[in-house]
Amino acid sequence: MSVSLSQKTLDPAELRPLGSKDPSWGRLAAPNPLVRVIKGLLRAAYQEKLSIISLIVFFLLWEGVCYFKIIGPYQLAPPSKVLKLLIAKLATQNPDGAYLWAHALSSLGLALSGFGAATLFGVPLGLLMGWYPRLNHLVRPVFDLLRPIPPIAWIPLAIIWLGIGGVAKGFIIFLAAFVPGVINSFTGARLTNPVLVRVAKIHGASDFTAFWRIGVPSAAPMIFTGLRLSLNAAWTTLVAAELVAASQGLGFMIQMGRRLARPDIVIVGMLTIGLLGAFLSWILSKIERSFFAGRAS
Amino acid sequence: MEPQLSVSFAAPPSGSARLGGQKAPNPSGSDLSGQLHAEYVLRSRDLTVAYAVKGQPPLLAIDGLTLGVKENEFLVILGPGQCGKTTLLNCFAGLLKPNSGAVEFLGEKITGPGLERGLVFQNYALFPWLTVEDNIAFGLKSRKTPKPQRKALVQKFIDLVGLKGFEKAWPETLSGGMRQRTGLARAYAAGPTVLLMDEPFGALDAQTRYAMEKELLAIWEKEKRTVVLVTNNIEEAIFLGDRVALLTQRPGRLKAEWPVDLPRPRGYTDPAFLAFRREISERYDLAL
Repeated sequence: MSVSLSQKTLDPAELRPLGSKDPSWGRLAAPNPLVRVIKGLLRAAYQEKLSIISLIVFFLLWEGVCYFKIIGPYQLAPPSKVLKLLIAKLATQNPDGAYLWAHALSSLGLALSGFGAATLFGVPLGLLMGWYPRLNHLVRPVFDLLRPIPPIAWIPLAIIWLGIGGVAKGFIIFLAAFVPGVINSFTGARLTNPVLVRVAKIHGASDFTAFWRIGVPSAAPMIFTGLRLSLNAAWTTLVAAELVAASQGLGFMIQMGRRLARPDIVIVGMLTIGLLGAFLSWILSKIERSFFAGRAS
Repeated sequence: MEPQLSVSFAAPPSGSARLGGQKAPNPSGSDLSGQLHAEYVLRSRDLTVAYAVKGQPPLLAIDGLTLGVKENEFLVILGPGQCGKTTLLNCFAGLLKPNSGAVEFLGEKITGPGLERGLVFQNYALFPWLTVEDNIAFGLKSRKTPKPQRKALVQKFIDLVGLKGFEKAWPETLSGGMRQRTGLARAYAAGPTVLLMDEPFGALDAQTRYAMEKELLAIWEKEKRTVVLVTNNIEEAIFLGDRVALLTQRPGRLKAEWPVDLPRPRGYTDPAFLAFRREISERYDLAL
């Protein structure tokens, strides 16, 4: 049974792992390297094509469903019509009262002000809670009580308190963006390496100085995670907030589309929300990357 | 954030003089602080430290340790794992309060961390969000050293530890040896009287370790400071130390002490070195 390694004539069969039934054991995985390369290339091309094919099939099905009136024109608009309207809406205010970019700007202003306010209060609060256990014990119970309430559930109270203006909508978005900002900053500050805190103390730092010079920078990656989730929450709550009452905005545009029985308007609004949301996340990730430029991790 | 380490003391502001504030020895040689507290820069007296363990009697880490280090002396504290080496250094650094006894700096009781006592960590403990030069400038910024002076000092210590050309490098891109050079430069730059080193080369591979030991001695010869270095490596202790203090395994007590009067540079295979090694090995606890 023993195989002497000094003998160079090893019988592969003798070295086969116990219980292995693979007959190709000891041989190359494929008989011919050329065949392997060709197979690999075919596989890659196939995968690329697959993605494109799936998109084409999706749009064709969509178009076909509308063309053959499987779904009526008041329920669904074909992609060709949606695209036409998307371009037309850049230059016309009809029939929902504003240009597409005016709707988009109005929504952006709303979402970003809610997000900005949430960041301004949420991130420092979370960081301080993560650093000072006493503050955490003080704030945590209330925070945990309010946290699971979905932001939309605040809409009635927001209207009672703040009316139906922009402030009420901003408030809803603020609530949505506030929670992830606090939680992630909290975790970031909490996870600060205690050894680094010791280094700061040795260099004569007070507790607050250590917080500022150690806690905040080491929490930076988590702060950015929080910002991303906050932005996401702000943007997804937008339509709900614009339900409150609006005369402009992408949410309003969707509502108008429904009232006018114009599914193309609804879909243009939805698409714009999706694209702008992706664009905002992209900007944030750009900022994040430039912020951490050079740091390996 | 262990409870023992969260003791926050107000750090005493210390001047730029090496011996810290008014206690600097005056150039005429009549050293007032020296008269009062004769020979020791740093000293522990009957130091006892115990850690609280839930549901069990407290764990005695150091038991009645009296140990001092003289000015510009290189003291190596040698001991096996769990002999309280790190605990002792934390007491010296002012990060840990003794349960009884005292730790003293120039005869005065240590009540908190201070810039006159620098610490070098086994795992470097560099700030990953700062470049090499900003890491080294950390202590100087705490001291509020004006910028031009700060820059000059940072450059001086970068040159001293041989990191020229790596000023703008991020810690994560450096090798272990280079990271520890940064750690050493950071400790030096803060202007300490005493350098406390907690197994500084423990995380390095053997070859780098030998090189860094030599490097450390070269740096120390150029910029003399009082050094307390903790290690579990007998060779390292003999190679580096003016004096070697051997501690017992838990609880840490002083077991033996040797002045190392071999001339530097010491060779690991010199007969005198080997004789020393044998003598210390015989006393070294090796309970596992």
